[in-house]
Amino acid sequence: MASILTPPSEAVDREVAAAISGGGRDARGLAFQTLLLLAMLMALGVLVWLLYSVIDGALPVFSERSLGDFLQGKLSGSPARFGVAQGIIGSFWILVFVAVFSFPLGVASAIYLEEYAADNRFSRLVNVLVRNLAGVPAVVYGLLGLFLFKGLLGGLTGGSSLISAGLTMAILVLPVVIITSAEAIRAVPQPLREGGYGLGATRWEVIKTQVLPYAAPGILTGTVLSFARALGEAAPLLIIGTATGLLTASGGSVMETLRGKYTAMPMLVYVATKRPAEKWLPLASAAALVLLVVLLVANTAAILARNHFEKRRS
Amino acid sequence: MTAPTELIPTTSARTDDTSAPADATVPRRRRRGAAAAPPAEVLPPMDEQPRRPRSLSTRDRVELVVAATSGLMASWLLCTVMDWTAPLTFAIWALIWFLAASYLMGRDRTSAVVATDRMVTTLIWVSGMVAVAVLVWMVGYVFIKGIGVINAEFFASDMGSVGPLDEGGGLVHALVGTMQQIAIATVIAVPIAILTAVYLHEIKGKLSVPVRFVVDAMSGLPSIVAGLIVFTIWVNEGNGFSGAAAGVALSIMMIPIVTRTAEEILRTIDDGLRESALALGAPQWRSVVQVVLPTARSGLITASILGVARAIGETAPVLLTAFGNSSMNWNPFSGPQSNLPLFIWQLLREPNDAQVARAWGGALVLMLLVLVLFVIARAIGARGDRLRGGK
Repeated sequence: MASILTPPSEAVDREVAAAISGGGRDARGLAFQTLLLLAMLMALGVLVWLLYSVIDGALPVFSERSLGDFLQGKLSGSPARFGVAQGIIGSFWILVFVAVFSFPLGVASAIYLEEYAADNRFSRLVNVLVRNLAGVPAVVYGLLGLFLFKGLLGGLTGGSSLISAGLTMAILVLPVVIITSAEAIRAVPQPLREGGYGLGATRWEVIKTQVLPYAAPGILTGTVLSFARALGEAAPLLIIGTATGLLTASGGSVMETLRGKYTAMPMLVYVATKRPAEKWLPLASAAALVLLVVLLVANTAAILARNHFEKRRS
Repeated sequence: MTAPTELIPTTSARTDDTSAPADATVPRRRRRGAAAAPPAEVLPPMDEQPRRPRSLSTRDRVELVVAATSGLMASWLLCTVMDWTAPLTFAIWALIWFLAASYLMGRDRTSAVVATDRMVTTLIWVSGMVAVAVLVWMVGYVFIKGIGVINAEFFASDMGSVGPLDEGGGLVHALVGTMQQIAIATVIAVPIAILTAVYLHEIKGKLSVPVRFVVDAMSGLPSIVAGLIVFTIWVNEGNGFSGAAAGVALSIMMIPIVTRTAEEILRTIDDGLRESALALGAPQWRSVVQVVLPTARSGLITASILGVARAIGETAPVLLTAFGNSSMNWNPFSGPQSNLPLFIWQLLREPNDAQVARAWGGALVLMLLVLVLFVIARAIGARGDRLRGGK
């Protein structure tokens, strides 16, 4: 009995392994592992190389100017004065639109699909449709934004304005929010709901007190993904159009800001690459670096919030 | 007054005579007992009788209709008085009035809890419908705007010798560009991604944790940054724009997607298969190559197709690497090349309805291409599930 329970010594282990593999060293196994390791190192290398080349490209800017100067600078035709302040503000407003429109609408749709809709042909069709829409290219969303928000509703939105860009981004990330929230809600154990109903709670009470708190970490992860997408996506902005030359701050009310011209972080990167390379390429890299840092901060904040909810769940 | 089906059958002791016979589930003896119960006047009023949760009584329906009608009228009145013409404003005020009226009536008759539940149901239903309607409308709109220019010539000619006002022209140069660039990106990304996924899930070595972090970080990488990097170290170093540069930039976008999906697929493979292979004396590489990978094949194909579907629509990175071209360029290794997103982008910027119409045609082709890829991915994935389940 004891001899079975005590683990065999390593020498025995080796002996058995050698007997099974025919005594020789497993050369092909080693080759296989090396191949996998190489592939993985390449994937790892790609990112390190990405980061390195962005930082390396951006260094000339930060050696000539202070970081604060670059962060406070405005869109400008002169490389010495070009900065990202307006891009950060524009990207911030786009995120506000995403948070205000896609988040409630997307989570509510997910609740509808998972908790309210009967499992019939219509709801299955909607599910498939939403899934496919998450793959529709951003440039198509941009086209729609151009014709709907800049064209048809141009009087309301002010043309190539923050409203047009923000609403287009909100529609762009809507399927992502719906899918990830629906997955999170589907993962809520059924007994939690049944317990709620058994105590006489209404459906909304069950959703509010059981389903949503349990699904919150998953929903937040989806929000992080959609925010990252909205921050980094350039195609719809390219099509709707942003300020490229000079952008004077209107300095009016919030509504005037929203209806006015704007620019956003990915567009600053693009604008800088379109100008003579030797002076502007470092600026493009610097703007890309700022974009990456902003993304990192946003992701970290969301991950912290997710951890907070996860702790509360357990 | 109330339809019998709205009563809970097992509590029929409290129901009146008219509903009892309709309840087929109630045993006969109890139904007789119900018939012998005190006369109808003694029963509590209808609203206090037990009801199936979430069912609507006639009175509920009347209330909803009243709330809806009053909402429409009040909103119409408000819009007329204030001279608002936007349909959206009308809809929003009607919805607000409807919600408030139905809540107040519901609370008056039942309780705040029930009324809140009903109000939230309406709200969630409306938001779900709005979101779905926006997305459906989008597909329909692209289809309607794009279908006009789709004909055989659209797929057979390029824009090289087509003036802005000419008839004809097409996107064959963009299709060729897309295919070559995607092929290059796939050749680079798919092997790296799938082998990485195998390492992450099968070997589970020491590097798994940092690599998974890297893959997650890469999937949040803005696409324009991927383009910028290839632009900085390849295009701008004297090599010029080319389809191959675009392929490299797109492969950076593909690697994280394919890796993550492939890892999910490997996770679904039954551990029993691996253990059987190991128990038969197969070394790990043999178990992976001959058992795990063949079993996961359809799933891995699905993962690759999803990566392709994402890369095919990226605009920002190809703009900085392939640049775009209005005529055919068969050689992906030199000279600017077009692809579908660039085709759309270039034509859209021209102040000319014929060109913009072609852009919509390009958008339709691109969207259909992605949808077809998704359908293929789904079909292959479903077949793989059937094969695995059938064993």
